[in-house]
Amino acid sequence: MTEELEIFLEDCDDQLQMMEDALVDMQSNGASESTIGTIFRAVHTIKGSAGMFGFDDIVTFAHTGENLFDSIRQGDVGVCEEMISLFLLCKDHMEVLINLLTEDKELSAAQKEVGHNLIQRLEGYLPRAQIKEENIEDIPSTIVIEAAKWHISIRFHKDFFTTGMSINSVFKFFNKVGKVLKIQPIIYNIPSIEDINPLHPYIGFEVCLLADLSKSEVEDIFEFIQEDVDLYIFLCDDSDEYNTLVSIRKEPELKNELINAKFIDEDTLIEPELIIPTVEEKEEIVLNQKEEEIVLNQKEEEIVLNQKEEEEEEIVLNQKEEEEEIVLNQKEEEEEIVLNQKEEEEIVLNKKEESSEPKKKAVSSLRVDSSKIDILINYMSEISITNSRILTLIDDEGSEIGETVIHMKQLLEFVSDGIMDMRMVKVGDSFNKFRRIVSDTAKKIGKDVDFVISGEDTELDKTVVERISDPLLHMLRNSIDHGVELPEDRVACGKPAQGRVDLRAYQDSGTIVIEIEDNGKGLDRDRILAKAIENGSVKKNNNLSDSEIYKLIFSAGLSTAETVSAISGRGVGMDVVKRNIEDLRGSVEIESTIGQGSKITIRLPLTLAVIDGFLLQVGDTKYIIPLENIKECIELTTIEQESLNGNEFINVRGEVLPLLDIRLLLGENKSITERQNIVIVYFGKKIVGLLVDELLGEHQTVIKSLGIVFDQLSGISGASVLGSGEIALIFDVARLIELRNEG
Amino acid sequence: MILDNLTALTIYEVETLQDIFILALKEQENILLDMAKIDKIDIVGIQLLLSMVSTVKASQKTIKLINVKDTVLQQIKISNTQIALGLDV
Repeated sequence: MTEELEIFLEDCDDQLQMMEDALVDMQSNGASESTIGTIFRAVHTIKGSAGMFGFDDIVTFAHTGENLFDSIRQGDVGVCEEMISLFLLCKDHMEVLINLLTEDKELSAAQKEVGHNLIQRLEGYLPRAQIKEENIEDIPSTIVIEAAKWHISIRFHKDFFTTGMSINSVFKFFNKVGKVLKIQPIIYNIPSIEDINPLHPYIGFEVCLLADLSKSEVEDIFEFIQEDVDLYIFLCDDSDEYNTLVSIRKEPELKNELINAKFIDEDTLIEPELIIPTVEEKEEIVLNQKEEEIVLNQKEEEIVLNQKEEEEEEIVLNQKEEEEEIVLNQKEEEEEIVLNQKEEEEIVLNKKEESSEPKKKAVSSLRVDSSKIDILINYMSEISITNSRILTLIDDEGSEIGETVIHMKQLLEFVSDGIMDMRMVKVGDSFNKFRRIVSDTAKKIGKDVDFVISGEDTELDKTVVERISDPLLHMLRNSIDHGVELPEDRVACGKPAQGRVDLRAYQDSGTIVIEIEDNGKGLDRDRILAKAIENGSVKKNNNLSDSEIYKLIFSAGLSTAETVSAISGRGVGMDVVKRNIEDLRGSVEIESTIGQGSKITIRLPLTLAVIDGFLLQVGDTKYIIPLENIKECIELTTIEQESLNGNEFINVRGEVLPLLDIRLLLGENKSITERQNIVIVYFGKKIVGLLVDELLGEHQTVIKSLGIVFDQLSGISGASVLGSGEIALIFDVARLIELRNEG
Repeated sequence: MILDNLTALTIYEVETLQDIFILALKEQENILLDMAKIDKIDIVGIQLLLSMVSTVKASQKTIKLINVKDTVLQQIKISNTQIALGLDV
């Protein structure tokens, strides 16, 4: 798969998600100018990009959708609930079409039929005149109203052919967005057959396109090849631009070519010899032109109207500086200005289409493969280890070199934090995906559910977000299927007919908490217990607390549902949910009140890759406890050590805490040191004291997996390499607490 | 001249074809390029054909493309290079 195609697929993914979010929003809050605009742009972008690649199935399908949403935007067609459902199906079909590309598969007959039916249903909403017009002319393009004639001059960079992109696809796409009035191949630069490098492009094109598009929209058609082509786009009726084109191209034959192909009259063009500029002049012309356009855009759209005076001064200052830089480095500035211009055009476009939305700040972002960040994290950890090793070798932190290494360590921590920050994503994007599933699930089983998301801006490691998605979905489905009652049952209980499911996220003492809460019927404690006893997972004479009984729903094969639905009720899955959460070093708790609802609380570490830990020694081995789980450390005096004498509890300032002797648990030898310490750790609401030997101090570390050999090692989540080259094992505090409570 | 071993004229074939063309240019006065077996062409192939046509013309020889399939012709027409290639369409 080419890089361009990968970008296309990622972009489609984003656009489809935006589309789905907007549609689900429409379902709950009705259609707004903003949501209609979002959907229109998403469909339009997918169509445009697909056209670039020659993916005709996607273009044809998206085109009908785009037309309908264009009519909605114009106010010719109103939005109804069935239409929103239809559009959700269309979104799914577009996803299928795009997935087929990923898998390099052909569209099956059944899929074609689905697409055909959807198009017919979409056309059913279109104003009659529009369908008629398209059928007669057989041009699957948007209706051209106030269409502009654009001249597009195309030359290719040296590597264009090897990118695998097809210029013919672009030309074909031109006919989908408008009408190509003229294409003139520029062939005078093609060398003879003996001299040509057949893999280098020498050909060029001059095109006249009639389309209802702005300049930036025409440029967008070239989005995926913009780095590999040299474009010059202007309105055909601007004769001065033809002179500029001839000047810029520096191709003596171009003038005649343009005249012969009847792009322009002979009289209009100035003799190219008279105006051929030097390279510097050429750059300046382009530069001035771009600057003029920027100023024009700024004036027209009043982008900077609301800027504070201070900011304006700063801009003037920056402009001055930039002007100075222009003299020094025109090429670099030209690129930057083109970029600024693009951003501003985007703002203008957004402003036009989203007049009701507040102005958004242009955010510059860079899409990076997450595996590259993982590699970077790994190297960072190696550098940190090496740096610590140097410090150990120096053995004199007070010396100049020692101080330098310590300073280096601090800097490395900054870099490390910065890299880790790159991995953090807002949970909102992932949460919003659930809206539709919740809505569909509820609808399917006749329930009315208000799904409320909060804490969307909470940030979490990308890997954690991805891996928690399925467990959350499973629990949400369970809440709707088993938790929330049918409207008539709710009314009979004196509750409002509409149930409520909350999905919220927030940070709490170094962990992320995700809660799923419903106001349904709650868990039936006795029923769960009876079922567990029946299938043998719990003994009859047990002494389980409510919380422990509720947790039994995470046992394999335990379902108290009276009926098995397509959604849930087979007891398969909740055990997988728990395992997935534990794999992420997380924990899950359930609270429930019969008749009032249930709350599932999931606690997850902020990141899987790095922990701020506390290094300690037990016997011959070094261990690390995540700092976020440590409440306090207590050094035991010899008398206290003796008084403990195998106790399983410790009294800390009047509070009795369960104690876990790590040496006993992990079979460690007796320590050479006579010291003993208690480290009080907590996870959620549970607290345990860990009996360890020596405390060695804070230690930031990258977690390394122990591999599948140690997969069953309970209470240990990974390992870390210390500066000395020693291995330290990292405690899984949640599991240690469980081990202690299991006795 | 029949392009016997080729069914496509794309980026993957242009280097081989360049050698064939150079040889043909040395050996033949009037080149008749039989495209009957070519099913596929891209802009890289079209550019090579354009190079060949202009080189032949410059050396006072002649070249004619014959039996061009519809699929190939369609691609040539999209880039509007049919006239430059001397195709009667």
